[in-house]
Amino acid sequence: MKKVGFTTTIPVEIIFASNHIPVDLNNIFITDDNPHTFIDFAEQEGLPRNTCNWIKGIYTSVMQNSVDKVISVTGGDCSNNHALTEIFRSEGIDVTTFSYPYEDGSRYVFLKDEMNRLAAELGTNLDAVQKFQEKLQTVRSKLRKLDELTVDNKVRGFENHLWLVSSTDFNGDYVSFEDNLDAFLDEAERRERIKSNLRIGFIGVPPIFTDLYEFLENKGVHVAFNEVQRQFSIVSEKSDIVEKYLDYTYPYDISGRIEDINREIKERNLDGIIHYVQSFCYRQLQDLIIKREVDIPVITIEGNEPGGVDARTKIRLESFIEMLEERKK
Amino acid sequence: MTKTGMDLGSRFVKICIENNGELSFYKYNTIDFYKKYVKRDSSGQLKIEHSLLDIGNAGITATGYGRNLMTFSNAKVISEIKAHFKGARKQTGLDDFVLIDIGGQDSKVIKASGGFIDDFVMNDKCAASTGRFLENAANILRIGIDEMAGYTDNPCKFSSTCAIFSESEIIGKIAEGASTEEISAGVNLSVARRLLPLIKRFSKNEIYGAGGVVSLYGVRYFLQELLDKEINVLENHQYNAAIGCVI
Repeated sequence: MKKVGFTTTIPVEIIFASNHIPVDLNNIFITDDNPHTFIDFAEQEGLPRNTCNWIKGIYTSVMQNSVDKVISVTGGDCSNNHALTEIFRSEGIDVTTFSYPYEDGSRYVFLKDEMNRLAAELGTNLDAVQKFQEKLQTVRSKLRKLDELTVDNKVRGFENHLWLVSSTDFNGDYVSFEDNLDAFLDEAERRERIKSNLRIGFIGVPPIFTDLYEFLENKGVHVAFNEVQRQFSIVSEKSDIVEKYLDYTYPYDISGRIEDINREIKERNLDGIIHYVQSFCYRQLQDLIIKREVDIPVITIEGNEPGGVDARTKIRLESFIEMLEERKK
Repeated sequence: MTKTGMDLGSRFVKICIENNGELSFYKYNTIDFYKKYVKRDSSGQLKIEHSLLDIGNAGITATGYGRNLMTFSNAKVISEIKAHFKGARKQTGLDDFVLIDIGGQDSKVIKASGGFIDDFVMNDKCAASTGRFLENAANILRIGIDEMAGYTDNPCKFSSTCAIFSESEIIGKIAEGASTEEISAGVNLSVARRLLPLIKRFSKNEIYGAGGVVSLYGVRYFLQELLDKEINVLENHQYNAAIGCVI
């Protein structure tokens, strides 16, 4: 059994079906007690200051031997991964690529080819992966339940974030993940509903801030939607594993994300949207389209380093909350 | 009964006292104000102590950058957006307007419609389009900020997006022999250009100006030119947020 790390969400069923342990490299970085040391290490090795800190976190996670093999996502995420792949290869690290297709017309064939290739490389095949998918679907359905409980004000926005973001690798062990999830759901269902003045949705990549949810909750805000985290949990109930990952909106063009966001705004009765962007990320450009296409007020906040929300961002968020509260009166 | 509004800005503390509908205004250098009038009370909390607040005062409402860095035992705090919105509503008597506030460390644009805040934007993580940059530039040129604000002819071109790097650019221009007037005009233009993305999409509406920078001729001149639109400077432009605190 090898530890197989990846740079962003990939069809994790392939790694499980091949009897290896999946490791989301982002989680190694951000759940470390001192994520700053990951950034410092990468910068001392020569990665530029004005580059996404998630990339530096991934770089250091790999360089410090946390995994045996790396799957670098070179299509559907940022092109920094191309350079990262090349750096890893030059360091003699076992790295392979995985790519989500951009072109609409040929997506199914392209993605199926990629999944076949990755499965073969890890010593399995798509039939085995498909079978495993059915097993994992029961866990995924429970995550869906958790998301519904969030909409129902029983699960906090941060809990929702943490569970969904952890489902990219199921913490390496889907069996104990499911056990813990069962216990959590059992407890959450019996909770009193969280009282809140406002319902907010989070869109964009998971925030690097450590206390954002806490800050919002203290202001009486319930985060009832975590867009990308929810996508990471692969919400599609289609049984075909390729179809499932075609419904996953994150790696494709923005129109699928916008459709998903606007639908969930209605379903979840949201008052406003916080669009989180990472400094130096190409997704910052998409803010322009999001502001144009999303139907309710949007505030965009930017994070760079792990840590607490800075004073300026707090001022902006407070004003946004105040504005939404006034509108609601 | 008097009410006190306090805008704790990065450069100045602006105070508005309301007494039976009459407003009076006071301004202090921020550092002097904190040193002289902010004390610790018996429970160790910060307290504003000032003779203006002594007689029959109903309490202080404060806003501004400082309010997020400290809390006072004797002041209620509101956000700057809310304070500016209320101040501008009072000063213009309008329900629909766009307000641009350019302060010492930040700039913001608020759009109001039907008597509510409809939208707002604030500069984020950069002080390049604020009063602080103008002050630094005037210091390098060894002239007053008011003198610098008077120049608009033949502006030098500054390409740096960063206030700190722009300082070295200014020094470079001096070395190249550009005149103080041309450099000053260039500084005014560069501040206006950086403010433009913040306000451009609101340019269909009536625009009102608040804050210290908006009253400076040079910046306003270039901003109006770039927007092709007049900016109406509020009567008590520097006290707009303080006024909003007592309304």
